[in-house]
Amino acid sequence: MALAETISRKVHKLGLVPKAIKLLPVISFLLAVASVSWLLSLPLDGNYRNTYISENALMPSQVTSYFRESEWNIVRGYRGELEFLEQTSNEQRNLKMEKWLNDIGLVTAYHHNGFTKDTLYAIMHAPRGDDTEAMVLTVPWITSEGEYNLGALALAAALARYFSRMSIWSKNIIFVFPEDSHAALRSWVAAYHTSLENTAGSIEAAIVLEYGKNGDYFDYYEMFYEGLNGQLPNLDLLNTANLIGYHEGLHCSIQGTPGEELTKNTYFTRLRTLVRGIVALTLSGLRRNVPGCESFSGWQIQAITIRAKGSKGPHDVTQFGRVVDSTFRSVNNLLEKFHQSFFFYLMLSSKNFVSIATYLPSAVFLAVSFALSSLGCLLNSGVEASEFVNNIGRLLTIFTLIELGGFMLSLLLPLLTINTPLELQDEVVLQILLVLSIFTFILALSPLTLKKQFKFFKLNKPLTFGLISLSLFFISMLITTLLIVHFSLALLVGFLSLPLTFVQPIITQGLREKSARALEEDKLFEGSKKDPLSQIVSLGRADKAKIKVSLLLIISSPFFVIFLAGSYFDPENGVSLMRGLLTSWSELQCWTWYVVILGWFPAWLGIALSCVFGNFEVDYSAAFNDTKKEI
Amino acid sequence: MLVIPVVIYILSLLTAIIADPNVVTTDEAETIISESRHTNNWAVLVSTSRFWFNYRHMANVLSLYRTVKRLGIPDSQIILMLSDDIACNARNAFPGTVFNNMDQALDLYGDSIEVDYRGYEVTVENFIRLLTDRWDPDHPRSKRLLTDENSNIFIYLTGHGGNEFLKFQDAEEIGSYDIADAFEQMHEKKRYNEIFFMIDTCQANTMYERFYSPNILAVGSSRLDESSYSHHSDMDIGVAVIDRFTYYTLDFLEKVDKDSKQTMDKLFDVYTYQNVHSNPGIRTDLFKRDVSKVLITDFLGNVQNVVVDDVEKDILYNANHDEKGEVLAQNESKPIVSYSTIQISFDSEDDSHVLTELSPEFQRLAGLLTLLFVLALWLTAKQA
Repeated sequence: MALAETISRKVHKLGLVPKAIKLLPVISFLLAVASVSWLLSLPLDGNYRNTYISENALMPSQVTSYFRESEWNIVRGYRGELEFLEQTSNEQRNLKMEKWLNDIGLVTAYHHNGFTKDTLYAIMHAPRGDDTEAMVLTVPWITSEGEYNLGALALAAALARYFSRMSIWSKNIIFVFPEDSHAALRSWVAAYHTSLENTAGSIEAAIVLEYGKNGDYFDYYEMFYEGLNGQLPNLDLLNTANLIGYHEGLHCSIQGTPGEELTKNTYFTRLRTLVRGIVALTLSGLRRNVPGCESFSGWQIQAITIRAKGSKGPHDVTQFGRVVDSTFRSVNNLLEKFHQSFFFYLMLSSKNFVSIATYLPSAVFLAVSFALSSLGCLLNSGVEASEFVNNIGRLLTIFTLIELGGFMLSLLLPLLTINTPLELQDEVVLQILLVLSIFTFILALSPLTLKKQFKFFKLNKPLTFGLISLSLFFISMLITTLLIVHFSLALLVGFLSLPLTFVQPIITQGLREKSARALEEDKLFEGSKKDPLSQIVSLGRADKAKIKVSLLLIISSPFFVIFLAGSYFDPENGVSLMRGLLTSWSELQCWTWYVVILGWFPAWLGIALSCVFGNFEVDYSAAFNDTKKEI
Repeated sequence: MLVIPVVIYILSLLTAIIADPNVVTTDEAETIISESRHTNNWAVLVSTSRFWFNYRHMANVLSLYRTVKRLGIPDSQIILMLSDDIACNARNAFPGTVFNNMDQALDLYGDSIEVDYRGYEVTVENFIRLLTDRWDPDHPRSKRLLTDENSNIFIYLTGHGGNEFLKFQDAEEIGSYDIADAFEQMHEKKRYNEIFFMIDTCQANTMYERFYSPNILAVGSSRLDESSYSHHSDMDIGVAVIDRFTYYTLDFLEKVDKDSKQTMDKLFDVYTYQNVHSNPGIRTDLFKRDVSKVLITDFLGNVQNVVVDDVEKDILYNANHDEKGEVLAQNESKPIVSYSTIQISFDSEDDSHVLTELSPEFQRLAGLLTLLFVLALWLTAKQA
C-alpha cells in the first residue's frame, strides 16, 4: 500500500498525468517507431529460428527416389508429344493428356466451371490405401508467367506413370490440369469439395508445378507458399520440400531472391525476404499471375508452388520430379493432417523463420499506438467529457452512415466490374479508381481551399474530435482483429494509415500557434501599425498546418496507395491491383477488398470529413492562459 | 611299502575319472540344480508404439522374438505384443515383411510368427494383467503368462518413453511404479524365479529405478534426459529399421547358440556409449547372482541345468528280458491299476552312492589307504 501511495503522491506532485496526456501523440509515435524497430530486429541473429521438421511421420529424404535416368527418357517422350500440342485447342490438349492417363490406368474426369476452359483431372486410387485421403499434383497448362507449361506437363505425365507402378501409396493422388492457376484452379478446388462426382477423399497437400520451356536442365527452383486471407501452408510442408531439395543439391529461392544470392544469408537478405514476404502475403490473390498455391486456401489443404528457374544449370528435370516424388512420399507417411508445425510464420530465408509469437508484438505496438492517438485526440481536444457523451448519438450516426457508404461501395464496385465483359474490365476499373482518387484528392485538399463561408455543413467541436478519435480507434480495432488472422494486412494497413494519427496534433498545434501569434500581434498592434508583411507571413504559417494535413490525408488514402502500389508492382497496367481487389472475392474468395473498403476507407473518410467540416477552434481563453503561463 | 597301494589307488582314481569325465556326484548334482532353480523360460516381448514411422520398434521386438525362439523358448512360452501391423501397412514397399537391417537378409515376419496381442490389444491394462495374471476365467491360456516360482522371465519393452513412463499406443502410458508394483505382485504370487528386464526407449533407465522386488536384473538403453537413437534407415522402405541399443544387443546375441556358455557381463560389455550413443544402464542390486556367472541362455534360451544319470545300456531291453534273453511276459499282462505313483526325492539317503562303480571293499580299502597316506605325508612334512 505504502509503495502505491508513495508513487501516486509522487505522480500527483510532479503532475505526471497531465504531462502524459500532453505527450500522448509523442508516445503514440514512439510506439509506431517501436513497431518498425521490432520488425527490423527480427532478422538479427538470435531473433529468428532455423527451420526443422516437427512432424515425426514425415521422414523427408529417408527414401530413395527411383525417378531417375530411365524416367528421363519418358519425360522426354511426353515432352516431345506435348510440344505439338502447344498450338492446339484446350480440348485437344486435354484429350491427349486424358488418353495418356487412361493408358496408365487412372480414372479421369472433367470439371466444367462455366467461365473458362474445362479442367481435366485424374485420380490414382491408392492400391492398398484406405481411399480416404489424397494428395494433389496441379499442373496448369499455362504458367503464372504466361508460358506454356511444357516441362511440368511432361513431368506430371511421367510421374503419373511412375507413381502408378508403386504399391506404397496410402493416399490417393489427384492430377489436375487447369487452364491456368487462377480462377480455374480455384473453382476446381471449390467444386471438388462441393459438387464434383469423382473425388478421392480429403486433400492433405497439394503441389503446383511450373516448369516452362526450360528444357532438360534448370538452375534452381522458386517456391511460393502464400495462401489467401493470410493463410499459409503448414511450415512442415515447406520444410519437407526444402529439405528434399537440399538433399538433391538444389537451391531454393523464396520471395524472389535472385539466383546468385541464394547462398547468401546476411541481415539484409533476411530483411528483404521478410519485407517481401509481408507484402506478398498482403497482396496474395490480388494479382492475376498468381502461383496457384493460394487456390487451395480455406479447405485445410497445405499447398506450395514450385517453379524451375533457368535452363543452363547443373540440375536436370528428373531432379525436379524427385522433389515431387519424395515430398509425396513424405506426405504419404502422414497419419494425421498437418498440424505439428506452425501455420503462422514469416520466412527470413528458406532455412530461417520467425513464428507468430516473435513477430506479433510489432502489430500490437501499432494497434496500441492508434489507440493512444485516439485517446490523446479526446483528451487534448479541450472538450468536456460530458459534451462528448451528449454528442455520442450523432457521432455514431455519422460513422454508421460512413460505414454504410463503404458497404454500398464494397458491393457495388465489384458487381460493376464483374458484370462488364472481360476485355472492358480494365477500363471500368480504371474509371472507378479515377473517380475514387479524384474524390480522395478533393476531400484531402479541401481543408486547404475551402473557405469557411462555403462550408454548408459544419460539425461542432465534440463531433469533430469525436469522429477523429473514433476513426483512429476503429483502425486500432481493425489491426487488433486482423493481428493473428492476417498479420501482414494488419501491419501494412497500420503503417499506411499511420499519417492519420498526426492529423489532430498538427491541427491543434497549428491553431495554438496561430492564436498565440494573434495575441502577440494584438500586443504589437497596440504599439505600432500592423505590418502587411508580417500579416502574410502569419497567414503562410497558418496554412502550413493545413498543407501538412492535406498531404497526410493524401498519402494515407487507400485509393492513392492502391494506385501507387498498383503502378509499382505492375508498371504496364497500373489498375491491376485495383482490379484484383474488386474481383478477388468472387474469383478466389479473398476478402482483402472488404478490409480496405470497410475498415481502412471509413476510418480515413471519418478523419478527412472532420478535417473539412470540423471545428477546431481553440478556446482562446485557454490558449491565452497557456501563453500567459509561458510568458 | 606303502607307496605301492597308494600309487595303485591314485592310478585307479585317475583311470576312473579319465574314463568318465562327466562324473558328477549326487551332491554336486544337487548344488547345480539348486543354484539355478529355474525349470522353464518365458519371454514377454512388447512393442508399444503405433504408426508407420515407428517401424523400428516392431523390428526391434521381432528381432528379439526371433532370437529367443532360436535359443529354444517355444512359442507357447513367448508372449509377443505387437502394437501395429506394419508388415501389412500400405506404406510398406515389401508387403508382409519386416526387416531389421538394410541388407534385408532376414525377414523377421516370416512364416512362423505367433502374435499374442496385436494392435489395440497392446494396452497398459493388458500388460499389467499379463504380468500379474489377473484375467477373466475365459481368457485363453495361450495369451497368459503361465509362470511359476521356477520360471525365468525375459521381459523386453520398446517404444517411446520419457522420465519414468513408457507410452503405449499414443494414447496412454505406463509408469515406472506400475511395473515395479506388478513385479512385486509377481514375486508375492511366486510367479517368477528371476526376471531379466530389458528396455529400449528414450530415458529408459528411469523405468527400472523403482523396482524393489528381488531377483530382477535390469538393463536400459539411456539415462534420464537422454534419447535413444535409431541405428540406420532402409532407403527403400524409407524408415529407420532398428534402434542402436537393440542392434548391438542382437549383434552380440547372433553369436550365441543354445549351448553357449556366454555370460551376461559379456553382453553388457557391448553397451558402450560409442555403440549406443547414449548411456545404457544396468541394475544388479536386486539380483543375487554375479552377472559374470549368469548365462545368456538362462533368460534368452530354454536351457535348464540337468544332471544326466548314468544308466545301464539297453535299459529297456533289460527291463523286458531275463538274463537268458527271453521276453518277460508278465510286463505286458500287468493290469493298469497296478501302476502306482513313484516317489522321487533328492533327499533320499539310500541312493547316496558314488556314481562310478566301485565295490564297497575297495572303497573301504581306498579310504583307509588315503587316510594313511595323508597321515604319512603329514608326519614327514612335520619332520622336515
